[in-house]
Amino acid sequence: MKCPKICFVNQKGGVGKTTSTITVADELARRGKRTLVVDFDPQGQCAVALNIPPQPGVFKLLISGSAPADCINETGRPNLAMITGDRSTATAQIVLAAENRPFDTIRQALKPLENQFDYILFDTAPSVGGIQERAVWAANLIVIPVATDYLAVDSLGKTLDMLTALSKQGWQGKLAGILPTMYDHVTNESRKAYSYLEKNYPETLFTPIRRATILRDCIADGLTIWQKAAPGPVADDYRALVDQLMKLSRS
Amino acid sequence: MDWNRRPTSPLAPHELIPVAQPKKRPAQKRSWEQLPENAVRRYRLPENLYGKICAIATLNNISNVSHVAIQLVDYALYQHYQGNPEFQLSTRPNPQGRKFLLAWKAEQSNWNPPQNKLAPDFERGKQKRKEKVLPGEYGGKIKDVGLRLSTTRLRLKDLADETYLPISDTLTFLLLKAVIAYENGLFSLELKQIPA
Repeated sequence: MKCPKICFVNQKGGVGKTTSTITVADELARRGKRTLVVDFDPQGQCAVALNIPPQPGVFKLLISGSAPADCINETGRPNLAMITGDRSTATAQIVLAAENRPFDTIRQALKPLENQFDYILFDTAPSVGGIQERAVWAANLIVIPVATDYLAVDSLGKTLDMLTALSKQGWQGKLAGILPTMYDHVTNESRKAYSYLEKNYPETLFTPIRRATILRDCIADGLTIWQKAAPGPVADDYRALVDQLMKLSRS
Repeated sequence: MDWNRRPTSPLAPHELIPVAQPKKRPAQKRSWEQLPENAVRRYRLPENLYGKICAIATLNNISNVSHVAIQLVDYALYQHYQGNPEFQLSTRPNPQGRKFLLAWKAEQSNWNPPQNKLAPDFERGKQKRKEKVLPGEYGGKIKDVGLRLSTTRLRLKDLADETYLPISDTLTFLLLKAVIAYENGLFSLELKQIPA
């Protein structure tokens, strides 16, 4: 697969989409893969998490018609670049919907970058409204992070419905898997949620990422887990995820 | 909170959405793959050493890591039999096993061998399996690596038998010394077209 595009998507907020995106992206970059993160979330928190200022990169890419290379921000980390998002991403979403732009808008916009990068990762907003569907449409692989709690598991069905609908319309991508996050083996709720996922989605379940305060500390410090707490149990969980994603992206 | 109240979908995602599958390893049906000397053998190598060999393969545009390993081992064996002191293996007895252990230079001076227990351990339950860690330079993670060393394997085995060392330890030593020599520019790899 040439320049696999991996989209982290879930309509529920707070499930670990942004954390997973930047952690996976940084590990890929550390393994020598030229990686681009595109932040389709109007909160622009991918940039915040990597300690760079949120800028209207996505708006410039999709609406202003800027050249993709001009929308890229350096992150100060080797092999890792980002197209940042901010509040203007919400405006971009409204414009995309109002102008009824085609589903492959994002795919076409990112095409010139495929030779420059080995991996492109999308972080999406916890909402439905046009930009998320177009990001999924542009992606080859979909990862659905699901916090191991009742509401997050409940929202999983809706995300899968969206993927089913897109699939019926000719979407060419594939589901890489469901990623249980914030797994805490001590709590009953977490265990029940995980066993529910295991029972209902056995074919598509990644190794769970455990709940850890260190992940929130990393975000607060503008660092990734690889800079702050590797080697460690959470870093091992994410390393396993990156291994699996790299295997899938070779298929 | 009642998890039983959650509706269970009659169809799993893989029945509705295309699911990505890892690429399957092709069956080893080529005639050269089936020759006994070309069989894949597993060796326990330090993870970072294997990473260095992979990096050398990538730098030289060699897709098969085994080819690089063969060249490295051949070079190290040549140096060993030429009497290069850098490539001589020093060993020490292992009170806990039949084979000897590799004695790295750094630890030869103040090596304190592990002692056999005088009394048997009466702990019940499953005994924790001791992770075998190579001493000296390599105390890191050990990885099972599959390599096709072809006929070089027989020469490697001969050396391991001579020194009474496990074959993986011997391979680790030779690869490490050869990688250091490669990094110091003492030899280089050259790609050659195999005649059809």
